[in-house]
Amino acid sequence: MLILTRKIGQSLIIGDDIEIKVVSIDGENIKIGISAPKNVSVVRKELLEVKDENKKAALIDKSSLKKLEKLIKKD
Amino acid sequence: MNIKTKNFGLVSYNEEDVLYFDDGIPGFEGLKSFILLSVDEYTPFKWLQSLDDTDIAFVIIDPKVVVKDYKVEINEETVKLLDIKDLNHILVFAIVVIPDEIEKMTANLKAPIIINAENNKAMQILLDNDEYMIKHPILKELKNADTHS
Repeated sequence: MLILTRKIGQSLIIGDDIEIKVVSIDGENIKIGISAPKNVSVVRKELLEVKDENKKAALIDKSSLKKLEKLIKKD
Repeated sequence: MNIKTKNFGLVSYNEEDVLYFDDGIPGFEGLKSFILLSVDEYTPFKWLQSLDDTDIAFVIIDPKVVVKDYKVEINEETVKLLDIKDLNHILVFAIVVIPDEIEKMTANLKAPIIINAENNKAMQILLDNDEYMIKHPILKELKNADTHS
């Protein structure tokens, strides 16, 4: 991984038209501004994990429901 | 109104019960309308049933059943998007994943579903803090919780 040091207000350019700017720093929180063409998707990395998790959650079927019902009764 | 669902057969609901996810749910961006289903046998779980694709339903749970002092920070963006006037009218749920080995079931406490009960607008948000996990095991907590309250 390429690692660069930047100060508040400074930017990086990726390719021809993507700019990443350090906007502000407050303790552990770093605000980052991103300018990119509309067709470039920018998401927080955790969102991809949430997507996967949602897809798994939606797979619920009758057999899992039965197991769940049993589990609740046991309690 | 009625819909035929994969898991619960025919379900009737009222127009005013419909929840509107304007941007869908991550992974299901096309699904915008849902209803909450409660089935007694499954307490403390509830269902978030899609009206756009009746095969899709999520098992959800009040995160406070899992973590007693669970707190969400609602940021300005969420307040705007859901047109929130009063934080007391917010409902919060965590989506549950039930794998084949049901003992390994988890709840997504990091990305809760937020519902504004005043206008039925809803969305799944991603919390910024590292306190909560996307895959929070819940079996232990369920056993300790009073599921009949």
